Amino acid sequence: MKRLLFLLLVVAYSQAILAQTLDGAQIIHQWNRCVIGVIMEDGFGPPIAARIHAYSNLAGYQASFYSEPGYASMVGMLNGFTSCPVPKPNLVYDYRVAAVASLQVACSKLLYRVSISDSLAAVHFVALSNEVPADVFARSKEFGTDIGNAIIAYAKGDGYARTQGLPDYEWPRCDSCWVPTPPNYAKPLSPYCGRVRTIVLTGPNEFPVPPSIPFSVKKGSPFYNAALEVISTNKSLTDEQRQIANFWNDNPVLTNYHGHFIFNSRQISPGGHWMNIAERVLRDKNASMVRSLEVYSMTAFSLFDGFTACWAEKYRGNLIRPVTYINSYIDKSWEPLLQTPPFPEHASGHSTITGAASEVLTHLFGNMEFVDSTEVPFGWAPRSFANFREAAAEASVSRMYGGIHYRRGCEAGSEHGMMIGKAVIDRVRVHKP
Amino acid sequence: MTVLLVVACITLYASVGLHAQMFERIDPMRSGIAFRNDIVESNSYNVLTDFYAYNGGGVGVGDLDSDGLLDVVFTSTSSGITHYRNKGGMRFEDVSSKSGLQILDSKINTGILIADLTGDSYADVYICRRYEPNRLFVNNGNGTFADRSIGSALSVAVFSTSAYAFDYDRDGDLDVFLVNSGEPRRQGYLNPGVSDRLFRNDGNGVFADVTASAGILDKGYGLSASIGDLNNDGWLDVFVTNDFEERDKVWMNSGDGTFGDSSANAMANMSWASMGSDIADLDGDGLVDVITLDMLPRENYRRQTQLGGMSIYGPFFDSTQRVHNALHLNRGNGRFSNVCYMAGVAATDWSWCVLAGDFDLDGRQDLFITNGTKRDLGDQDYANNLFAKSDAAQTDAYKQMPKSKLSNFLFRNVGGFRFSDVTAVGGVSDPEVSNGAAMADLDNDGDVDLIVNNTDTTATVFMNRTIQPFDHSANWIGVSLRGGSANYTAIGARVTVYSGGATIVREVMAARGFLSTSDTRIHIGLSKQDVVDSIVVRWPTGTVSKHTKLIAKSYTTITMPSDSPTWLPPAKKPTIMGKLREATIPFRHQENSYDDFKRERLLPYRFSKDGPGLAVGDINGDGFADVIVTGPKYQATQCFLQRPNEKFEAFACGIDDVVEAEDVDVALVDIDGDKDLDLVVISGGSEFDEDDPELEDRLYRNDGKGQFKRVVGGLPGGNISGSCVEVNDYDLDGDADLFIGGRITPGKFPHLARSILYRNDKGKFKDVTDEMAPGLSLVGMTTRAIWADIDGDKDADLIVVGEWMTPRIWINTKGRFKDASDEWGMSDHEGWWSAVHAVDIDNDGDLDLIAGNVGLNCRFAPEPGKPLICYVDDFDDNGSIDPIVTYVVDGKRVPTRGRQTLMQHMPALTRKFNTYAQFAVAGIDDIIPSGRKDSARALVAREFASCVFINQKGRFTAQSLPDLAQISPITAIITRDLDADGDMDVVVAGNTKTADGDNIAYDAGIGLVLINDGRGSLTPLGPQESGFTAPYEVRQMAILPIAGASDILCVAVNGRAPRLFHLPPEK
Repeated sequence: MKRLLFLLLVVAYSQAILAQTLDGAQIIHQWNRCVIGVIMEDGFGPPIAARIHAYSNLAGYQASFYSEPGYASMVGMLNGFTSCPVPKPNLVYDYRVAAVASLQVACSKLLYRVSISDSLAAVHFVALSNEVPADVFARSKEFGTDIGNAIIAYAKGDGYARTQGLPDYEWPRCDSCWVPTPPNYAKPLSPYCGRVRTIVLTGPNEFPVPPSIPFSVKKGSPFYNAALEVISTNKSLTDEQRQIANFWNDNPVLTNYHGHFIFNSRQISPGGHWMNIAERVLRDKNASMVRSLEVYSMTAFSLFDGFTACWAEKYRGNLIRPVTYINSYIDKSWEPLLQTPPFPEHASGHSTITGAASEVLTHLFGNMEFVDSTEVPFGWAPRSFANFREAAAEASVSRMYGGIHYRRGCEAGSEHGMMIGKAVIDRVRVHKP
Repeated sequence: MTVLLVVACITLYASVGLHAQMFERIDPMRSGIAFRNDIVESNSYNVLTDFYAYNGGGVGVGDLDSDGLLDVVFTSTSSGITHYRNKGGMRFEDVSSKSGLQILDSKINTGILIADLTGDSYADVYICRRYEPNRLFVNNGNGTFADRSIGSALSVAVFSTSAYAFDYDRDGDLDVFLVNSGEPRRQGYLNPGVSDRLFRNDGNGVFADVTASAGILDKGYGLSASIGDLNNDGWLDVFVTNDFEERDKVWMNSGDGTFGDSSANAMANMSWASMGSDIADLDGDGLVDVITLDMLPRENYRRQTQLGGMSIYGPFFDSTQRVHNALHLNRGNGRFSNVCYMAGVAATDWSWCVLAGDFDLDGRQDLFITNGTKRDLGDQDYANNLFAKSDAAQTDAYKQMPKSKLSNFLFRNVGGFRFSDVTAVGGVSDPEVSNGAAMADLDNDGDVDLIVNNTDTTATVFMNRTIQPFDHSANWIGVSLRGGSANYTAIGARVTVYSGGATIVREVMAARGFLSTSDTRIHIGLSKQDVVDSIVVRWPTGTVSKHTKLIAKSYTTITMPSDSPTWLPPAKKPTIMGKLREATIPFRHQENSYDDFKRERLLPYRFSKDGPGLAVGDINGDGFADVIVTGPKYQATQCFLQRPNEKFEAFACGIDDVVEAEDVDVALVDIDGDKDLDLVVISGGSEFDEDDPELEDRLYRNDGKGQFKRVVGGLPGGNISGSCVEVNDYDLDGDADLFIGGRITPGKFPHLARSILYRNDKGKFKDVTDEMAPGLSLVGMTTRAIWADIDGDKDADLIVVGEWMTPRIWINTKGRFKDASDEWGMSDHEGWWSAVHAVDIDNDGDLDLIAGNVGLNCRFAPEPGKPLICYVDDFDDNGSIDPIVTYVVDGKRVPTRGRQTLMQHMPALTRKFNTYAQFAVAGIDDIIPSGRKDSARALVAREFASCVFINQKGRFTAQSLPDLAQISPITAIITRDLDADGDMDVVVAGNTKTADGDNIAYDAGIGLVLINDGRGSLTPLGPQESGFTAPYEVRQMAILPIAGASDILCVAVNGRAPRLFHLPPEK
């Protein structure tokens, strides 16, 4: 069903494309959509999804920033990114072609369902070959391919593949420790993601994560009360709060049980949600191709480092989820509104990446109103926000509404995320002085 | 895929069309049976709104109008019930509107019970319903019915599946057991279930709910029950199948009105999503067995797409339940062995109804199995690609779920407990979605016909053609019992037929299979020349009668004599062995839980559950044999001193210095010639890293009083994960030398650990492996070894067995060893060997070998010429070893593990196989990158049978042990003359719960005694005669001499206390 949707999408692109000369920014937005979609279908967990957004957009940027004045290469700004091919001097390039080629190559190693990204590239290439002289087309495609390969080589150095070859994570056992949660009791998700090289931060622990409330099973203790707050909030949700919890749910794989029929339904990941917000704003602003890639890249870097740093903390602290604590000590039949994702509680990953991404977007666009319609395909009405930070604050508290985080976990994540966002703004300076 | 399947089925059907088929499908135009169960889906009724929406309807047969012909009633999911009157000659008439057997609402109907519930000798009809009160239709005595639901205790509104009539209290009338399913299930959160019910008949059709006082407490999602006398005590027991995590229940009738669930001890493993079931004597041993159905597909394609590779390790999943049918062989001592794989009936796809009947009239009970669901609920691609939507949009998501129809199954019982799939020639292979079914001789010709309730198509009437008009070649007898007036068909009676030396046991039961009621008459095939010598009937009220002068080729009616004596269970005969209390050796092996698969996802089995090892010897010099049992990780190896009266006492012998090692074997041996027994402890397991100090084998010197002192560096061969130590003076210099088997490099399957030959040089061990036995160090993934002079040259040769290797024969020539396996005919027996024992089994003067293997009761047991091959390399270049175990199925070599497990370990494969469907058609050549297979390491296993290797003057010939010895792995073997006839009999035991997520465990065994006829021919002896029962994971056995009494057989069990048995004195 979903596959069909993509094919339709691709056909729709091709018809739109043939009608007029191809706008580079539109191409980039279509790639953003494609990557978000394939990530959903492939079922990547949020940290891995953010990594895919980061490297694919980096590839697009490095292959095409030459087309607009004032932009600089990111070589030297990112950890371990020490070199990247450059175009041959005095030759003409079409950087749309280069961008498509680099995105295709990068995606072919980052995604699983590469037939979808390949077919989008094919559509773009056919359209562009009608506009671009054959020699320029060939040269640009070759250049883009070189960039794609260089970015893949760079990505390989971050240690991600090794984390996939490691044995299953053995989580520690203790009273305050996270254990797999109902209804799936799934194995912990991406337990080694905190070991992947950060792209901007000096390391996953560069910024301190505000601590969780000291654990206690004692009635009346701050921790116990924090759990009580989750229950009472969950029990007395207003329609608006319920709406908010579902709107920001962003659980990529929900498992639904109907007796023997067990199915997974897919949603956009938290990172994908923010990539989608970025796209919405870029489209509204009619941003150029390179500007779009700048925004996508910086947003994706903040997501990638946000997840890496947050995951390092999650598996360092291994804090028990509300559902486990509440079922053990307060109410054995309590169920949260949202399905608890399979990893430790502290701090909230959504809050962290949301804090980071909203800082980056605020830096890039200032305080601007926007409407977020990301969740429409999943059945939730659009929501409008006065600015990015307001959206971030709502996304953060939504995790407590959903019953999957304590308030402290949300706040700590937001704070940590904002520091990460600021670091990305400070260190990724692509505008030539 | 559906199309493909259908084409395949049609082709199959066409190719056998030339042969005479056992069953002929009667055209509905001819039979008049036009009933079809159309399951009409809507957004408010589908598998998402009711997870049992597609379970289908049942079939009931019974002589409703007392005309001698069996009438048929169908239940429909939402269209009431339909009553067909049998007009004879396979013609039927729909009389629902006239008979009063009608339900006019469109609520859900499930099972049908036809039995005399009012005690007036006329058949009544009881209909089970979901979300509605059950309905009781009482026979007016003329084939018309009155709805007497209101006011009856039977008219309960619980989500009923099916009902069973039986006389549990032997008071002469029929009581009712009602199987119910739970409320809609929310996995992981609280799981509210509705328990099954027992209704006692208090006469005149008045029932009382005695569930609680009878002790029936079942919280499961019940899908069927089967009733029979499982422990042969004269009281009917109830077996209940439960869907999902709740185990199936074995309600043993204690005879005082109460029941107790004995399933924990009775069945080591069972079906996970147990559906239909039946009870019948399937192996002809006079004990009734149990068969249950599940949903394991037969073909690899559907296995891969519908299950996707199960990983049942998790907090919900009880590792004693697996997705496969179960054939629980009754072992006669309250225990059952699931032999489904060996029997060939493990996989019949999404299966509902199983009926055991003698369809071909050869005296053995065959099996008919229905299957299919309206939609493929298990389709992995569908389940993994649903778009998330808000609740409103999701209500029609069911519409995209794929559909397929499947062939039913017919298995012919070929003797022993083996079945052969005769679906195609049986004439029942038309693809249908089939649910309930009944067997009945509809045309009264003596053979058993079948009626099947199909989803969305016309019900099938299969006429059995075994007996043809005017052809009297088939020899058979039909028995129609007449019991007391309140149980006139004698439901629950046991009939034993004695005919020409054969003894055939059948029980009369009405409701059976799934949602259905079958013929209560008994049909037994007799071989041509045989006559029926006599029939003994055990009547439901507990009396017994014997009948002779019975005429074959016809129905005989036997009426319960009023003056028959009470049946008494046979007196217990003395057994060869007698069990001792387990506390005699105060030790419980406490295996720590460790999941090897978390570290190495593609392992075929775990290495962390070896041990305990066992050694017997006098450690304190008091003249009595003492015992040492090794401890797993976190438990020290312990000494036990023999005290008077067969008691053993824990004794601090100075070896508790190491508790973190997983000790797997131990030997007591005088290494320094000071006439006391010193100690060698072998550590192994996989919970460590290569070269970790916990893997160091240990040597302790005895001070003569039973105190051991560690000899640091006494075994200098390195820290290896070992399997065994075997002692012998191989160089004949008067001191004890050692062989230590190396098993595995932890975390790096299948990299070996070194095996080591230690020479005793004046009390010091020297590693002489490479010097004296070049090549022995890498002999294989060893499990056991034995020293035995097999070539008769007076020095000990070394036989080493292990996994992915053939038993290796290392011949000793003046202290130097050479691998002579090829010369000894041992080249092609690569297996998963786990035990070896040397004995002259055929009394010809030389030593033969008995070797334990994983056995044949395995999903992946290799057929001749189609070995298991494990390809090993880092195929995806991510730094981890990828051992991919493959087997040949449906003509293609494919991985044993499913897409899910494989992709978890090798995520890059997801790029190539986006869907389960793509993976399901892939062979190993599509999965391993091109060019990498030939360079990969390949491990081979082609023999899974445990064998006797007969020594024929320098060459071994393999003979498989009997079938009962092949139902589980054999890990321990001893020989002893148990029957005092001068030859060596054999005792074997085994089981392992170390298999991967698709197999979980091989644990059907309960130990076995094999009696030798003196020429090496071995015959199994049942536990009632042998007295030997060794379930669980047996690792080693040893004979313990007891002062002033007969020897004891000590059985060391992983995770439990040792089991002890008195052995008969030796002649």
